[in-house]
Amino acid sequence: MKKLLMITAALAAAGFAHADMPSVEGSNVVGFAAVTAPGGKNTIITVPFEACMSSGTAGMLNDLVATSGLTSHSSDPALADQLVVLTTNGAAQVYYYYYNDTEDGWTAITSAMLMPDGSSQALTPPAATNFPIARGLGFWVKRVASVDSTLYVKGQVSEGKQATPISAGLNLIGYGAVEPFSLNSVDWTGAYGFGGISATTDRILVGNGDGTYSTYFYYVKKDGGSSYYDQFTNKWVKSTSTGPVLPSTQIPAGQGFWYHRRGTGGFTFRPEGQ
Amino acid sequence: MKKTLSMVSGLLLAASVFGADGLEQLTLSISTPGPDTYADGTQVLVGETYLLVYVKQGATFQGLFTDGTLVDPENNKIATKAFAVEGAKCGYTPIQYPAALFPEGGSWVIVLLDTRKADGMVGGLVAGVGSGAATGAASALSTSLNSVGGGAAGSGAAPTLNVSAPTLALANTPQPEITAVLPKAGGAVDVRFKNISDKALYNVQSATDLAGEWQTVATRVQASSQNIVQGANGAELPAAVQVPAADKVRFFKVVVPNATK
Repeated sequence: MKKLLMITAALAAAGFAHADMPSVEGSNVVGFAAVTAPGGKNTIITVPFEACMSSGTAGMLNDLVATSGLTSHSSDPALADQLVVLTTNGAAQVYYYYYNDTEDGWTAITSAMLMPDGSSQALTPPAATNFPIARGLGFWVKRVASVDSTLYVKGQVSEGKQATPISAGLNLIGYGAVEPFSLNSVDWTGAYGFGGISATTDRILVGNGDGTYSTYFYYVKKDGGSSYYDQFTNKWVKSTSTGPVLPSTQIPAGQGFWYHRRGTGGFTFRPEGQ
Repeated sequence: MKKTLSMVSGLLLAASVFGADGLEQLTLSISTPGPDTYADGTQVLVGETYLLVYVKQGATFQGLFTDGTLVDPENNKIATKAFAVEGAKCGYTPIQYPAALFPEGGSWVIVLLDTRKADGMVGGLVAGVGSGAATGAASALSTSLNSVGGGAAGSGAAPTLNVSAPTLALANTPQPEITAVLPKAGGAVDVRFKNISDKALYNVQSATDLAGEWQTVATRVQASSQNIVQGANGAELPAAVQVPAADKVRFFKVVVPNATK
């Protein structure tokens, strides 16, 4: 009986000891975000993730954008969903087209690049397995099916801070957030506004899912303006007939948008700060 | 004066900033839902040619000559070619171009060509064209992903293309002259003619009565390095035609159709 008590006490001690042992945490966290991809529409998406097992490294296109649930075709890109990426090839803007091949997934489409002299060059994008997509880059998903679908973007949750260059003109970007966010909840240091809403005010165009956009302007109060406008200064606003209005909706994770840089030069978008 | 100058300068500056602040490059894709057809109602063959033509503001597409050149090169510009794939449709072809190359205000037209030769294969001179509806060219501030012919992604089938108009003969096409006619067994006749152009499509017509009705017995006869022969009068183009074997008399002439320019 005494022996039995000793064994019980030993087991209890072992149990306590087990409870006190530290757990071994995995070195990374991965995930996915579901983005609504309306049927028959073109939608701007962004990937809030990075490459798995490579902290701080951009993932490859085929790893980051799942093909499940999307329309594929074995040979005809016109009959398959596509991704279209506006990027740079050296200093020049280029568009890379990919379609969802039934066997091979995202597959590059060669496009004709027309030159200023009227000549044409074939432009074949890098393979989707070899094309890194930086967190915060925006690009198109082009749906051929008439019904809505869910697009999954996936990868490793980034521990670093996003830094996305924005140049003069139109930029396809996004905030690599893993949950919905408000435009005014992130850092926009470098955005340009002047004198209320003007022709040089930076603006953001967010797709409404039906081919239209909601436009937001970066508001900076006019010199000497009423203190009423302080609430809008250095914020993104909608322009209405009654004045500026703060946005009431959030942008879903995985949705990209146009940034129209109308201020001089560019800046680096650091939504999570320096 | 100074104030006016300052305002003008300000406007010019604003205009230049606005003009330069869009996209350097624009993109669009071309395709057709098919099946597209020739004028005789048959479906276009794999490999048949489509053109993407930019039409300047205020102008319309004016057609092609038989050699594939534009009738109105001042206002029409061929941006790129695409080719038919299985399904008798224009194969999906994305293009990209500097925004200033094809300005907003103009429009895009997809043009289907009929390049079938006498043997039925594609790749010859252009006998006919068919064009689709015009689509406005995008501006440098376009935020859309544009397409021509196939409509926007999933927007439903766009109308099919049909070859509906003949091409025109070039203005300097020489007047052909028959150099030989050789009746053979079973109504087969070899006709040869000179004063030929490799940019012209010839028809051979025949009649049994000079005052009667002429019938076309050969179409799309065209010169190439493979079929021209050297005769006593230089290069000659042969055409093999078939007429009723029982004819007692038969006349032939060669014409270049649509030589209106």
